Amino acid sequence: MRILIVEDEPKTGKYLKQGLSEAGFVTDLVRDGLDGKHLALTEAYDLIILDVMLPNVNGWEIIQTIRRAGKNTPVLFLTARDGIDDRVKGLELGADDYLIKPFAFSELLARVRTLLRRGKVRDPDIVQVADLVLDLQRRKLTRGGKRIELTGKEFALLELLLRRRGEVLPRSLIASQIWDMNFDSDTNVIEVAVRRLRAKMDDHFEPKLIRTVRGMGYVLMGLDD
Amino acid sequence: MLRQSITWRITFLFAALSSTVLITVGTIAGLSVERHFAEEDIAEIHGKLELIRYALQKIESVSALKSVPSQLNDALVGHHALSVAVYTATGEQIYSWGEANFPNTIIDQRSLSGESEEAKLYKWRDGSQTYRGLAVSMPSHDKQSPTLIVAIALDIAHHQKFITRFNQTLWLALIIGILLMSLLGWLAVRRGLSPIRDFDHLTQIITANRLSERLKVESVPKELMHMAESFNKMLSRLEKSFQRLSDFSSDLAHELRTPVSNLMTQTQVMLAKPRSLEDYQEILISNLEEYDRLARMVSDMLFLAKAENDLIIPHREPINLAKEVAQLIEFYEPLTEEKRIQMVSHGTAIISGDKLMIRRAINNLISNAIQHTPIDQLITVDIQLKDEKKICLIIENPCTDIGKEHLDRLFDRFYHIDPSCQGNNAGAGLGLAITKSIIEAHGGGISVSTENGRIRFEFWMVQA
Repeated sequence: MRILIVEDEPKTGKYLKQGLSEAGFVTDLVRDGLDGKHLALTEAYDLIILDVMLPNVNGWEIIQTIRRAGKNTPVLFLTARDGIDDRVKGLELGADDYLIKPFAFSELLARVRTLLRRGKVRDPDIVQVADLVLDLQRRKLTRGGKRIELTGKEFALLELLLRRRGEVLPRSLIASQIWDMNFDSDTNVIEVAVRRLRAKMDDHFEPKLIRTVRGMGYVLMGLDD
Repeated sequence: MLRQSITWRITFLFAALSSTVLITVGTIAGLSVERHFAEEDIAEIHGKLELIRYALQKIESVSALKSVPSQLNDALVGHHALSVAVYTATGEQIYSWGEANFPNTIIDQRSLSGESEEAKLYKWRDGSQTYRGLAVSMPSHDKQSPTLIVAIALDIAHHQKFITRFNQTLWLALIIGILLMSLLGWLAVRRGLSPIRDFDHLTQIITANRLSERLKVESVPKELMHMAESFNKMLSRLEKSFQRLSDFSSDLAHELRTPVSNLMTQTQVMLAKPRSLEDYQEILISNLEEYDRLARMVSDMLFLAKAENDLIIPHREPINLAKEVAQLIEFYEPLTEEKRIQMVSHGTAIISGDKLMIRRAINNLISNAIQHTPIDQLITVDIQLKDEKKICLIIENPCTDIGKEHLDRLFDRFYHIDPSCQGNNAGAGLGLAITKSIIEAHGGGISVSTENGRIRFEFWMVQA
């Protein structure tokens, strides 16, 4: 997977490149709008991460040029502005997603993966990790052959973690995906929800599948991940 | 400048007014003097006409008059200003007295119309002289000329001279009067408006540092009292906002200083000597938590700053309040179950608003309630239709006693009832401020009250 990063702020660019490379992506970083436009038009990328404010050519112009050239490469905008107008403008011009600085890197990673997964083959109906088997069709969970009853939201949470196994999911992403709460809560409600899920499907079993990544979020992974 | 000055405007109006009155009075006076003289002249002319009529009746024929003009002369002797001419019906002059030349129009016109006492009076100039006169026909004993035309004129130069002088004096007096009135008007207006200057002087004293100054309402004139009161009210509002602003700035600095100083200190301590990998991870994670808090504070602050400047324009759509509340209750279920808190909701209503914002506003109230409700207690959410078009959402939960002085300030930014419990996981103290700004951006209002150990947040909005 090849990602183009167009970001003029040196530190941000450097850490985006490092973070994404370490997450297994091939990345190109340019600091100038003109270079970004050129690369976006001439090279084949799976995703472009665009800063709005850029020297010479701004992010909006770049995306307009790309779309006019008939390229459907997913574009994720990064910006320090958070005016509704900016957001609407970005999406109208054909951006696929939008992140406001400052953002959590785990959030960016999760969004990048979502965009890259878009349009890919459907996930299987039965997902298995270690001895845990989740039947999405019949909405049944078994671990070590034992049937475990989950509430609707617990099931959705486990499904999300399973579908994106190996990815660290930030609390804000979990809140927005499972409960449609698109803001940060002052409370530790996600922690409690994950703890309750673990009590049912992880606490009495080995190996532990859901791990807490401090300061980042939660990840579900088997031993072989 | 002239147009904006009340003093000049009133002075100008006053001058215009008095000029109009004075000029009117002057004109009337001038006209009546002239009329008085005209009447006097007419009386004299008619008197003389009687004399002439009487004298003519004694004369036998035209030729007699021609040969012996003294018959008429005797009647006219001593009247220097008078001129008389007698004509036959054919226009032949048979007698003349005095210096005036009668214009033909007078004589012709007279001959066309019949005799009348109300003969038309003429006024004409002949060289340097001005005359007023008329012509009438009179019967005579002469067979050849049964009617005679008598023209009579009065030299009115002395009257004219008097009128001219009178007018000169009158207009001079008028101009002086107008100037004097304007000056007096200006002085009066200046004096009358002096309270406004005092007012102005007082307002000039007030600066950002002296917002506590107030106008003394009892010392300003009645007409300005209302304005002074409004001004004072405005000052109070300004002072309050200004106070909040400076509080806010210092709060902001303080709120930022704590996490930044934490970050600096712990990073410096960690870097002071080589440490194990776990220690480095630990410090990075700890830093991350601080950054997270800072980032959230910054975005919350931005939201509030925008709300303050009316830049938050809700994207309106119908929202089912009951559904929103139910969703939030479900969201917080893990937490409430753990704390054994019960949360119930009653009522339903549809409002028009920005879904994301309204949800955030209600969420802040609910999470606030959950945080402050003791174990095993009940939180109630009530959605009511009040009045015609007003929808209220009331969230009530038990809580420890909160002083009245805190209640009013609960919606202030960074306000903590207990200053020592800042930080930790309590949030930055921006939640309720954000809720308030969202509700207000939707044209609603929010209030808080306590009763019997329960705290009650109530917001209202217009029905969709």
